Amino acid sequence: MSAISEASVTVEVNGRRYRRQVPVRRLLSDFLRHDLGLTGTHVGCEHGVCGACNVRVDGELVRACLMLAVQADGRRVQTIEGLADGELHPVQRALLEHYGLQCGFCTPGVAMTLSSITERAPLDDEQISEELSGNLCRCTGYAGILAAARAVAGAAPTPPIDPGEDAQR
Amino acid sequence: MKPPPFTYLRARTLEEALDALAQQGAVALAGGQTLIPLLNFGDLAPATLVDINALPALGAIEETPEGLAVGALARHAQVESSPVVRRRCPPLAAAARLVAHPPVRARGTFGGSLAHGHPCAELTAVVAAAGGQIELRGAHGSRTVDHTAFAHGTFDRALAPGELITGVRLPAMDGAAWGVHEITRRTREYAMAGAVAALAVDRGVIARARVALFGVEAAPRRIGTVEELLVGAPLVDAASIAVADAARDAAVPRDDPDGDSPDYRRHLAGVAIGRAVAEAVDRGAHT
Ligand SMILES: Cc1cc2nc3c(=O)[nH]c(=O)nc-3n(C[C@H](O)[C@H](O)[C@H](O)COP(=O)(O)OP(=O)(O)OC[C@H]3O[C@@H](n4cnc5c(N)ncnc54)[C@H](O)[C@@H]3O)c2cc1C
Ligand code: FES
Ligand code: FES
Repeated sequence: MSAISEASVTVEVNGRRYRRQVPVRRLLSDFLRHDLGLTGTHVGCEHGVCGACNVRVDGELVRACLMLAVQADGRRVQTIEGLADGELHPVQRALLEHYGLQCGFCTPGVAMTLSSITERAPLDDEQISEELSGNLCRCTGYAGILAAARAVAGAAPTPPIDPGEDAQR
Repeated sequence: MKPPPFTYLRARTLEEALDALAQQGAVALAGGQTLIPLLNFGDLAPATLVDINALPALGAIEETPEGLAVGALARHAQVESSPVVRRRCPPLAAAARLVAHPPVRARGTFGGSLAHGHPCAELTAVVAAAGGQIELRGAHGSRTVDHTAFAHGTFDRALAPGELITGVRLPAMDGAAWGVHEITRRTREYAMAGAVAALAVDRGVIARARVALFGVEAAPRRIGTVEELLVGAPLVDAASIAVADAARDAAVPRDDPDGDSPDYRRHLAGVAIGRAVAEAVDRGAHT
């Protein structure tokens, strides 16, 4: 076998099969965004720190900016576009209800992280913050994100903030 | 930024990987959690990436008569949750949990951690504490080196060009008294200072101590003066031994002109070792 500079990549993304010819240097994040037009996966730092690009590959939560598209060949990828199934996914609803998003840049990565931990619920607060440690929010909206996480993965979910009550104060 | 152009080879056998790695400019791609950021930054421009992820048998974690054998491709997440690791070398499982964030742990590998040679690598610190053996394979054969001979300094290790780490052998650290502690600015970032302590206790007395410091010096290393203070002491008294002072005296902060001052880092070395030992004593006293 010899080394290649272009590869034919076949992946199943959110249940749909795609095949593209790409340079081997193509990052999975760019493959999703530019080659497949799935721009929901965000790119913040491209060095594994921010978590905006988190996707699931064969069910596992990974950084799409730290994987080559060619490494996803033959595998199953889930992105933020694949979470809602007709209606919002519970983690999306929780982020909405608990004010877990401000500008929304970090939200796709956060939602993918939450989707991966929901399946292991219940988690205590320490476990939840461990799992969320890999997601940076530039708006520093962590309180809302944590509340959303507790609602979907916590042992003792906190009630959503009632905006009506807030407005009366 | 994007990776510079390179060619890519997904190795199907160890021989194929070693042949490819023997070529000029070829580097191994394991978890990619360090290599790909370096490519994205433009810090590296290898001619070829040899993807070793599909190599069979490099990912196994096995119990051995002496302790553990961990394959180079064992992911941090696997090490963290492995029942065999938790039984034979619980500090290793605890250390794996301190490496980066969960999605990085899902891909990053044991071999990659050791090969990269970061002074703050938690897993390397446990290998240092345990006195592990690194198994290497090159196009011209295999060899095994002691960890102290392997990890010389920052990003400096005894890895010949084209050579692969295939696995690591670790003597068991299965006593009840152990602790792993690190001090970071933000959760799961590279440690400013950290320590591993494993104490073998015989009838309440510390018979053997293995204490390694990481994050402060050029490479993780056992701190003999701290170990000497502990050996022979009753476990219950160990928390009041001045290990922090000894660690501070022994620590040799690496050159890091942009980082914290050497004095501050020496101070943190003392704090980290003090806490790891206290954790070990506490755990040992409660089991
Ligand atoms: C945000 C972030 C935070 C991090 N924090 C920490 C941390 O706190 N502590 C820590 O220890 N690490 C940390 N890391 C690094 C992470 O643990 C890496 O997974 C690890 O250091 C490298 O392993 P890898 O398998 O990803 O190696 P790769 O990135 O694939 O390779 C790294 C280097 O090792 C070489 N290599 C890989 N495998 C082998 C082998 N078997 N034989 C010979 N050479 C090999 C490669 O050629 C390359 O030079 C962090 C990474 C990120 C992105
Ligand atoms: S863009 Fe991938 S972690 Fe920041
Ligand atoms: S909501 Fe703006 S970055 Fe998180």
